Amino acid sequence: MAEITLVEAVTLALAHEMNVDPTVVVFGEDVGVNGGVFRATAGLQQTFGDERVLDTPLAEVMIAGMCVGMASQGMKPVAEAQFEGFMYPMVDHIVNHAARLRHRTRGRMNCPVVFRAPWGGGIHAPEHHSDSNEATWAHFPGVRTVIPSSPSRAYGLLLAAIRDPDPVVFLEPKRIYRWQREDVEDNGEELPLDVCFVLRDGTDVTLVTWGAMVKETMEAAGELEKNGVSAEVIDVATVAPIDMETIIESVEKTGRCVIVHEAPKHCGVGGEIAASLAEKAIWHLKAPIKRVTGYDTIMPLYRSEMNYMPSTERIVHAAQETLEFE
Amino acid sequence: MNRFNLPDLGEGLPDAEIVEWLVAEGDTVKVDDPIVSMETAKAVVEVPSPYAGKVAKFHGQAGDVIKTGAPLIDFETGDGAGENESAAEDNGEGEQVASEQEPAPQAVEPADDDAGQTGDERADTGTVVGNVTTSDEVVRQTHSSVGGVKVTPAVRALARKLKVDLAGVEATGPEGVVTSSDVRKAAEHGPTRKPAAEQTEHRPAEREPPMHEARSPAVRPAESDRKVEAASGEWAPIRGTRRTMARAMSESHARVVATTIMDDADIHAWQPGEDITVRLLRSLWAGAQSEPGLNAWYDDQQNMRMIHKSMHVGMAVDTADGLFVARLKDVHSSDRQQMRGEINRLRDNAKNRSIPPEDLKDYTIMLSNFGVFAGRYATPIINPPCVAIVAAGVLRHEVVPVLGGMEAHRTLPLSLTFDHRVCTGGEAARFLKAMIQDLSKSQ
Repeated sequence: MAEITLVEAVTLALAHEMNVDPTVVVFGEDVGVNGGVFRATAGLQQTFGDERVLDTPLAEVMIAGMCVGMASQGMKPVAEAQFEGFMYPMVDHIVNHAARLRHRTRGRMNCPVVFRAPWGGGIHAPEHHSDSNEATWAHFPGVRTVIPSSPSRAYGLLLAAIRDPDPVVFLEPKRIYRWQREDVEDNGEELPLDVCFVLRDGTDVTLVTWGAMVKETMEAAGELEKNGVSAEVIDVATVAPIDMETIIESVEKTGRCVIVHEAPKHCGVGGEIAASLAEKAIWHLKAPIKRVTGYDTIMPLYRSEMNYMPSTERIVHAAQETLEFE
Repeated sequence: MNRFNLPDLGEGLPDAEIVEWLVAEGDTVKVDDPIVSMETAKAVVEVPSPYAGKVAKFHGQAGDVIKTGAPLIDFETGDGAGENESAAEDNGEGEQVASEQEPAPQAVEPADDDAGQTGDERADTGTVVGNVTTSDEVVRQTHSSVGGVKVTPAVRALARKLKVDLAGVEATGPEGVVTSSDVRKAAEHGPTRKPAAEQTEHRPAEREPPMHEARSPAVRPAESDRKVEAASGEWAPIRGTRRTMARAMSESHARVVATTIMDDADIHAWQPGEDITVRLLRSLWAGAQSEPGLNAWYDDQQNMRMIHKSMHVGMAVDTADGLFVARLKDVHSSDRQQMRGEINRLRDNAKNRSIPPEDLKDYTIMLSNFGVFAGRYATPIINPPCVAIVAAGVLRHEVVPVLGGMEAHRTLPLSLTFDHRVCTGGEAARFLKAMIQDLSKSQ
């Protein structure tokens, strides 16, 4: 076991799977010689050679197209986009081909590809480098959207994503890439996709979140505890398809729900969760659902960045509002 | 030591049951000596020895079900070259290959932020854009208590995925924490720990794999906990031929869109001594000449079908142990004597339980002559990939209006089930009509 960061856990999972499965290949811009813009692929090319770890031209359309071709013919490509904002040229291949191949061929073919990208704000980066675009992917059937929030979950969920027979968009919260370390055993054990992780048990209010916002949400739960409020924290992890069962069970217990995400509120994944709760658990709610999110505007540059993103205070405040609702 | 794993005995089935060992541990055997008789899908098969040498160890006793590819028997060959050969073979099974692989190279350990820094080199901040917060704080997963058991978020998520009730899982981790393997075990074998509530005394046939994979493990405890007040019998596992029948019928029921049509053949014109089974076989070929689409196989995975130019009929054979479907070869090109000879051969083989595996597969259409007992019409079941089966009920006399009055005619009731995914109702009706016309001929 080693105490490693989230980005190191990504490297560890890639190396593990390349070792045991010769069909796994890694490619993207600067992933080889330089080891990736965040060092997520550091050392892989030295270990596995430049036939399995490829530096590509600056051409995301081609990267995604290569993925669909390789994956449909028995390879398991893991492609990296340098930032989530550079994934948009890949949309055609992901949505129109990777996500539909199984359906289009009535199950004869499938597309086991992982599209990795550092994702989200909070690292003082320029434009196109700080968005939270998970709702973009979550809206399309046929592709999973997975977001880890700790080193151990990054390791286990990435293994599961690579082994999954269908396409996965794997968004890595870059703000917490190196924020904490955790003992992660390189045992090849994957974690389940399509289920939520309950990080903290509570009885008064359910805080639902994912990605880097797990940091602020857990801090908020700690603050609430000081005031005698018991908050349950759920890391959704797979934002599409969503495991609503876990969230509904929790809300049946607490009667209150606050959803936290960095992305803009309008048409965010939080809206989907709130709507599902309204459909399936409204009689258990003791107060209206609250959403603490980014604002409905372009992600600001770094001077205002942290004002845009939900803070611990905003989460605590929202939770207290639900508790004070008469 | 040479280990012999149970090969696929020709049925593409996942396992086989040991009927009887024909040798004893310690015996010396030659290559091809029969060593064990195994009950596969529908027949008892004698397995020949792959090695010459001494029998060292059995991996099961009579009545045990051995999975295909699992160890069956160990031999001592005492022959150096043989040893090496077998070691190489064993390696092919995968397990050892994994353990002999070199450990993951250390080179992939990500570069430390401050590794190899010299004075004037710029520190690697782990990004080329912006600034990523770095800390050496170490976090640990906290346990929570669910239904009276301690569990980490990851294991709790796994239990959710596998639909395992944590209250029924025995914890083997340190300080009573439930591990992921505890959850997997419970998912596979049902609850490993008594829930607080009282447990029932018996769960039937635990070693049998569930019939449908889709059947959720979480459902099992609920079912087995159901009290059966009026139960007076004993639960007993289903074995052998009956077990195969259960599996085949479930699969057919799940996959085939079965539709049945029924009619009677007037056999009043038959000469005395006509052989009903032979006539039925001949009429099947007459039907297939009219509508070849029923003498066919359908591959629903590939969505393809094969219309056969020849006809081999799978005939249902009823025994005390369950149902066999035995293949009557070359019905399209056989005369009466040949057909009768083939029928007698299969009947004798079925009685002695020694049908060779090749006689239990590759039939192109099916026939059930259940009417020797009772029953007029039926809804017979198709074994995929076949697409049609005909069942003949019990012969009866029927009053038939004829010119100038009434006559009592012998009639033979027929039921034709076809797979409506690949055959139309019209095709089936024309097939049946051609059969009836052929059956109504005097000879």
